[in-house]
Amino acid sequence: MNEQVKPVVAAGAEPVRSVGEYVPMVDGPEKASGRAKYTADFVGADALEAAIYRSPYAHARILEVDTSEAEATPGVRAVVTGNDCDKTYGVLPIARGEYPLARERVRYKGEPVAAVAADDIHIAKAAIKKIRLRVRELPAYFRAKDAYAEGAIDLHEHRPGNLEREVFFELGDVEQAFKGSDLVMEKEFHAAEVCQAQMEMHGALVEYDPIRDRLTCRCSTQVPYYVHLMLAKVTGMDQGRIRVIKPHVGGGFGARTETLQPELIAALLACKIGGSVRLLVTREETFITHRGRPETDLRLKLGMMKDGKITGVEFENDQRGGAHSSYGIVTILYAGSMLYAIYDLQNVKYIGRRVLTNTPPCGAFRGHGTVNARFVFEALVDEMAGKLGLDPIDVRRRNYLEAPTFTQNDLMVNSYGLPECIDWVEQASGWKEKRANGMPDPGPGKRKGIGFACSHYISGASKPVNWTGEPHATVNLKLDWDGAITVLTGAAEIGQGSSTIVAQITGDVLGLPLDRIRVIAADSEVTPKDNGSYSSRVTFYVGNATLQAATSLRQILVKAAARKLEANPEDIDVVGEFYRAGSQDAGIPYQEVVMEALRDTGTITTKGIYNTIPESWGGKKYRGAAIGGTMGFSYAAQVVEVTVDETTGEVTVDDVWVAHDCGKALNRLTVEGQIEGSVWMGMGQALSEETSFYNGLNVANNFLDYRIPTIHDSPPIHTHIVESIDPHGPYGAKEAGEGSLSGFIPAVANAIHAATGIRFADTPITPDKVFLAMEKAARFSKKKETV
Amino acid sequence: MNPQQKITFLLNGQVETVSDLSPTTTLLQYLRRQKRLTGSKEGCAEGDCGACTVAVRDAQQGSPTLAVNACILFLPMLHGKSITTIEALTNPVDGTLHPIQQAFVDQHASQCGFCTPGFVMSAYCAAAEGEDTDDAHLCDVFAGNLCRCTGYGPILKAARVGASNSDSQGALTSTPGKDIPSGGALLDYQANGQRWFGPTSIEELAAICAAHPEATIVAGATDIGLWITKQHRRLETMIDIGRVQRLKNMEDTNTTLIIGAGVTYAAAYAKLAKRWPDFGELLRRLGGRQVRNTGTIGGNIANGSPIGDSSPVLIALDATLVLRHGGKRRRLPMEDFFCDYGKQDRAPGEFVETIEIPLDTGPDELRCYKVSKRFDQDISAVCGVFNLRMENGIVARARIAFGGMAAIPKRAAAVETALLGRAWTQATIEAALPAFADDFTPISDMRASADYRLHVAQNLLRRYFHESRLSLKETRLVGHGEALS
Repeated sequence: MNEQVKPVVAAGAEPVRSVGEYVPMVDGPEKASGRAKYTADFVGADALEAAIYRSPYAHARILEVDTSEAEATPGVRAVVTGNDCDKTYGVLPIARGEYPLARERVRYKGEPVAAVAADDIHIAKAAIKKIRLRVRELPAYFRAKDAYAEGAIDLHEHRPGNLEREVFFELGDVEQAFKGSDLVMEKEFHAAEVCQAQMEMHGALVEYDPIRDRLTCRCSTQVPYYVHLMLAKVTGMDQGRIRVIKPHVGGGFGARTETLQPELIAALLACKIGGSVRLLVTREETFITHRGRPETDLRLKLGMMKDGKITGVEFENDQRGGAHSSYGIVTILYAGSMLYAIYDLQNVKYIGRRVLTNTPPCGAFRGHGTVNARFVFEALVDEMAGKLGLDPIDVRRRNYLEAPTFTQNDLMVNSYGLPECIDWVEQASGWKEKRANGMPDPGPGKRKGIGFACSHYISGASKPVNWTGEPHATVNLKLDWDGAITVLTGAAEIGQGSSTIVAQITGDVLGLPLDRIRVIAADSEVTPKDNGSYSSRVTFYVGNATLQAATSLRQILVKAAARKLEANPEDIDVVGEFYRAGSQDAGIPYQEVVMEALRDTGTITTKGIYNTIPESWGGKKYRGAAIGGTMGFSYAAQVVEVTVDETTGEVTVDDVWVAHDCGKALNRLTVEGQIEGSVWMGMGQALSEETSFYNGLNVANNFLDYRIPTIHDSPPIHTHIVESIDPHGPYGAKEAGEGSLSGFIPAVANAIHAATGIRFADTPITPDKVFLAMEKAARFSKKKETV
Repeated sequence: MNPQQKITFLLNGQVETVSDLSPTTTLLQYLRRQKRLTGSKEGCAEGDCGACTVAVRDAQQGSPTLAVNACILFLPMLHGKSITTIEALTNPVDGTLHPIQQAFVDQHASQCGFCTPGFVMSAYCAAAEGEDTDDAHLCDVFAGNLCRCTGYGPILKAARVGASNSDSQGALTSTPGKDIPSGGALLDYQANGQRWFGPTSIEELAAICAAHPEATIVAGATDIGLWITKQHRRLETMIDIGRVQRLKNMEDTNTTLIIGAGVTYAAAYAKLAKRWPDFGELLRRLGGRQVRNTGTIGGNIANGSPIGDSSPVLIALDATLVLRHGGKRRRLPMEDFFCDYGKQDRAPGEFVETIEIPLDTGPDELRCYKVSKRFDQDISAVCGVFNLRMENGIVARARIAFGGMAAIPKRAAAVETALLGRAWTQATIEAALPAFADDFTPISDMRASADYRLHVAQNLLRRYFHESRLSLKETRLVGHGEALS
């Protein structure tokens, strides 16, 4: 659209404020019109097309990768194997053990072994079939317990016993706490592996310019900076010669919070041929690339007093991590540290094992590390409340934190809106009424139930994965003669709305409409470095940096207006596109102020940075205690109502009421979208999604067998925003996009219990499990009757 | 008339001619690679996600605007049709978004945006047909579109607002442009060493099938499309039944409903749902809307898939297949067509011409149950169909067929025997239940366990018994509280 200079606004006009409103996303029109370009949409005429040859073996020593026939195929321009790159990569500096293409060993079915770049995709795919892999097969382990059983061989020499990380901590005295409790319960649970299943498949377009020795990469990522680092590492190039551009990204949910194989392999091929290579993987390969939430075996023991006060927690879990490290160490640490910061806990013992197995690597998935732990915690609290004859909601009330506070494991909590969240869902769902008087009759063969649970999440990890001493976030604003303001940010817009938030904050500070502001996001040659879109850090950290940059620009403009109006800067009113010295002043339009500001200096750039405070960095009470440290926690509560079909075991979610404390909601429209999307994604994990393997082969590798809920399955979600203004968040804002996910799973499990009397301890809670459990319960009760 | 050797169609109002691309080039590949129209996205290339949805219309006056998956539609199937893509909805001069697109922006129905063009096109097709905009109906409209960001709530709102604004702004007239070029007579398209026949008359089709017994017969390509995009198979000769008008007819004699093998699920829906409401409900849950718009009942049968949902219904209705080879026809009861897993009684050169359903089953006598992990877009763990008749409280007729319980869709003969001639009572039902184990030895797979399948099948008979004492209306609730009407 042609942006013309706006007409002069009369005195008395209002500044444009968008923070706190319902604001459609600034890049919505591109997306709705189909003009938004995702990685696969750069149909470069001169790019070769590439395909990956993947291991058919779950675990084997590589004897030979014979690519001679593939290389001899007409139209094939380059073939790469593990021999072409002996550098490892990985997201955690302490766990970078993965090769772009397998060397010496293959460790899961589907691991990349070789890749071909050819004139077109058909030639590349045909050439792949001519690659011969000779191996000596090794024993493969598909379950965590098999991989760390006595006598299992090590997947990686530097990880004896196939333990990626074993975590143990005990704070307080758990045994003593259990002894003094009125009720102690212990239970085992299982959570199936799930994955992000984002709509856009992985892909990369990499151009290598041999004349200037420069590499440009476009890829579907949440973390352009990490991709940049790893491209430099595996190609051996100077990092200053690499440019990473993030196009539109079709969803992330954590799958893209680390460098993935397509961008690295495409880079190796591009360097080899000295040209451009486009590597787009299929949906099946996207599922195999994985980085989902691990299959987890869990055991939880809780102590509780008669009034519902939680006395002690003992929690143990084993995660099937897959064949490589990925985020594994962080995931297993989160599962322990994030037991805290939602309720007041004083005696906690945690045992966690992250195990390496011959399955695709797991990674960080929305709600990273907290989801399965929250499921079991909220489910067991519900069960114990039942045993004690207490309302599960009142049990939560007995265990509130009082902010500001530090938890026993040193996590900083400054704002705590959980009580308001709980009050709202209790009221809105008719919780008390429905529990007291029962649910409406769902008809013959059907039963209804209602369930409740809470959850929380961090607003960005306080210590980034790569601790360099730089600020957490840096944002530049540019203002030139045209009056347009350009926000330069490395924050990766992946559909969560980060570009909209930085535009809104900039506009809000300057009182300008959003169409004055352009956002350029995530092009390493232009924008400042940013750690990326993960751990719900962007609104908080990048938002604060934007606030600072915009405030600084406003000061420059105010000073210029003061000069022009011959007034003191402190007397200047900024009224949108109009600056005046006091309410009686005729004032001058924005464009004149801009030209005054540019006089002598030329183009103006301002910078904003943001740093977390040391108090937020987590503690040192156990190894890895920094994980969980954040500037602020979000809180959520939800009530789920279900109908269970006795004939088939099918569960229908009828309604969901969710309240989420995100601090100040900078954009109510996108906040609601994030909350609803989280709840809905939790529903998929709870009821239908499962990454399943057959002898290590991922068999749920398409959208038919990996069942994300369809529109028919999706319930109305009633959403309420709670704004416990956080003292450090921009305008008081906190996390909005992850915290509501984990609560859904226990809430629906509790609802199914209310409907059927059966506690399900194994996700997904599919019709066959529900049905067989109901049959068993019916047989059991019949037996009882006859006795 | 000479055969046509080029594929011709309208794309966003412009005539396109294709003469040198493989006949198994998909419409999506053509749009994205040849035309650089990248608004239609590839999310799966197997017809599951709907990100590639485009609108297709026949040349005939009054033919509907249909949402289809471009990813599994072959170019020759578009010969003589008009295609509208997401790009054509936005005004190219002033950049004004179509009211539906604008509503998706305003309602936050688009987050990452990757599925958005597909959703917009599905909404556009529904609005162009003047379809209802209540939630229950919109769920049917979007059944073939997956979104991973929104939870779908905002999409329902956007579709409703968008349709209403489109109406008031007159934004639903079909794309301006040239007339759809006539497809003309037989399409005989050869490229890349492959050959595609698109006959228009039944006689032509019979002759070509007989002359090319090795050919693959295409009847919608919602499955065959995946042979290409997923299995990377190369098909040498293909015969498309989609242009044979006679095969698209549904004929209603007093005693028989005759369905041409080329009738799509969508086209058959109204008639079948009117006659047998439960058959209609089952069709609503079959695939997604895009699949129902292209997939055919004949294709579902002839393909021999053990998991097709229409076969058990047709077996329970005692349908007969008419198979044709050259000038010769033979009639075969549906239940005899399926021999074993992946094997059917169809000779090379032979094709399914029609399906004949006797009309002696009343609307209330047929009951269908689909049990799956998702409401739609899912393969049934168990699909049970009951067609029973009572006379004076005695079971006078029993045709019961199941999908998902064996390698082929199969009748429950032992259960039928256990019911026939007996009083329609709970005791009879309970006594018949063990017979399921004689009829079926289901397997355990990723969809369900053997135990679950057997128990659910038995329970479905129980449910059928309870429901048989009530009218359909009282026993059917679908979607979110939407009663069958």
